[in-house]
Amino acid sequence: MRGEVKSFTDQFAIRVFPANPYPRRIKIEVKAYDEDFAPINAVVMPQAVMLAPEDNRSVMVLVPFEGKTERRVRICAESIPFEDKSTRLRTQVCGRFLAQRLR
Amino acid sequence: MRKIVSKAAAVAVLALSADVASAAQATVPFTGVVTSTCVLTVGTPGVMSASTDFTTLSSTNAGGVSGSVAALSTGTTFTVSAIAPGSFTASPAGGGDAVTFNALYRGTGATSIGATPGATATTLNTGLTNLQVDLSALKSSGTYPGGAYAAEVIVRCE
Repeated sequence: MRGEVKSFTDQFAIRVFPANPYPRRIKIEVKAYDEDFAPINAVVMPQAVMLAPEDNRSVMVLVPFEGKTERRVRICAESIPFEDKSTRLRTQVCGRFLAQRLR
Repeated sequence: MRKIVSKAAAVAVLALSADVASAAQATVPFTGVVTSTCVLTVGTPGVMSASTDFTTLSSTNAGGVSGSVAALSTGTTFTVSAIAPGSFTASPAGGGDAVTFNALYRGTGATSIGATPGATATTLNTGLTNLQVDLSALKSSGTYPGGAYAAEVIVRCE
């Protein structure tokens, strides 16, 4: 998924809605990355969420422009993998966002 | 007599009204929106087993099990990939030294995907695609010491 954000301040906000497709509760984390998947400084509220079956909730991500006029970021919802097998699968569903600072 | 006719007319009018009401139609509009999204659901985690010379741990070796993930896409712009780890999340002493990881995935269902290197992204068709994910860990120096090993593959949809 892709999106564009415009902000008059030195940071921008993105609201995402991670959902739980499983019939049991799971814990997910929301993380922010740059366009090369390097972690970036961002405030994620809340960062880790316990979701009931078939439930979703909103998570707010605040990202600073850090002096730039434009930032390309990825916001990803990541599952916490099962721990009882040797090859764990961590799922990551990401959206790409282009943020522009208006002056 | 006039009264009777009047009543009959009234009955006729009522009946006519009832007929008109039963034939009337109204349109009730419904709208709906399906968000363009990607849903990943882990079916089974994988199991790596050792090769006969104990230099490779892989889910494709005898006794190994591929991991499975269902990818549901409601848009046509989503891509899927499987990112191999850089190291084990658990291993005995020396077990994680000089190890190179490789992930592969394949898919059936809405999107047919042949064996594809994990880092290569594949565009998903709309619908449900069942992914099989394999992980191999090649030890280029020595052999794997005994113990429990664990590694994480990231299945990514964006």
